[in-house]
Amino acid sequence: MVTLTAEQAGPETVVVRVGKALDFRNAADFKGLCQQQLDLGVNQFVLDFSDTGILDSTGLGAIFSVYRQVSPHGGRVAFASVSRPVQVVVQLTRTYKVFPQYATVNDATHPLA
Amino acid sequence: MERARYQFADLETLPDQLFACLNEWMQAGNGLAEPLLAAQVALYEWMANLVQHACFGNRTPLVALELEVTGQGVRCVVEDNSDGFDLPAQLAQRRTALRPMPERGMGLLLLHATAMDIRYDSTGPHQHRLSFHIPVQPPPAGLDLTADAEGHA
Repeated sequence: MVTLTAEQAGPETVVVRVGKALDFRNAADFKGLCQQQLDLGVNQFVLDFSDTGILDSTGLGAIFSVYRQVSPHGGRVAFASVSRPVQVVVQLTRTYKVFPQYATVNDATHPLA
Repeated sequence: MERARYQFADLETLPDQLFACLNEWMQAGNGLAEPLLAAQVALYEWMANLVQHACFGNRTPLVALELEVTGQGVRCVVEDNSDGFDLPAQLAQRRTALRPMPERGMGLLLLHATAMDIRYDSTGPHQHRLSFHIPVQPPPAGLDLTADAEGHA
């Protein structure tokens, strides 16, 4: 499976490229990657779903876990470049109520531009 | 493409193989992208449950998937040689335990909220069969994971 990657996009912002899937097989890796970023002071997570064909409930649960850690401190988790399969999951689970969505990573990292 | 049957004997590669099978259907351009994407959600949750939790004893795990696409939607049948489990009891337990934004345990609920006419039966010793239908209309009801079982956010 393609390795998840994180790229700094600001002092407190990181873009996590999810890759082909975020599911029960790599949800722990995702949480570990995000925890590393949290330990560095990141509280704005932009999840790049541009190549993502699978987001399952375990992957979604991992995202909830990150959200729980940043939200009480003014942080956020945003979805960018959401693929059609991920959009179906977002609609089915109503998680658009919690995670703002942006057409591109750039829009997500520069929302006021 | 209207009907196809697939056999999987390797649980480790099953998720990727399932994705490839469904992608093939979506590329076929049958105008049923939305039900197929919903079927992908439901099937993936079921297969993930099989891979992570099913007991196959000393048997080589065997999973078969049958997909049928009609103008009314997508019909899915998954057969496996696991020991099976009490699906209604599991669903009831997880429904009661559901909290907003859960980290685990909502896969079967999500399947239940995505598919219609779900049946899970034992078809013989160590033989179980799940079937469901994803209609074109109405679209799946879904499951609000931002609320608990009583609908509180």
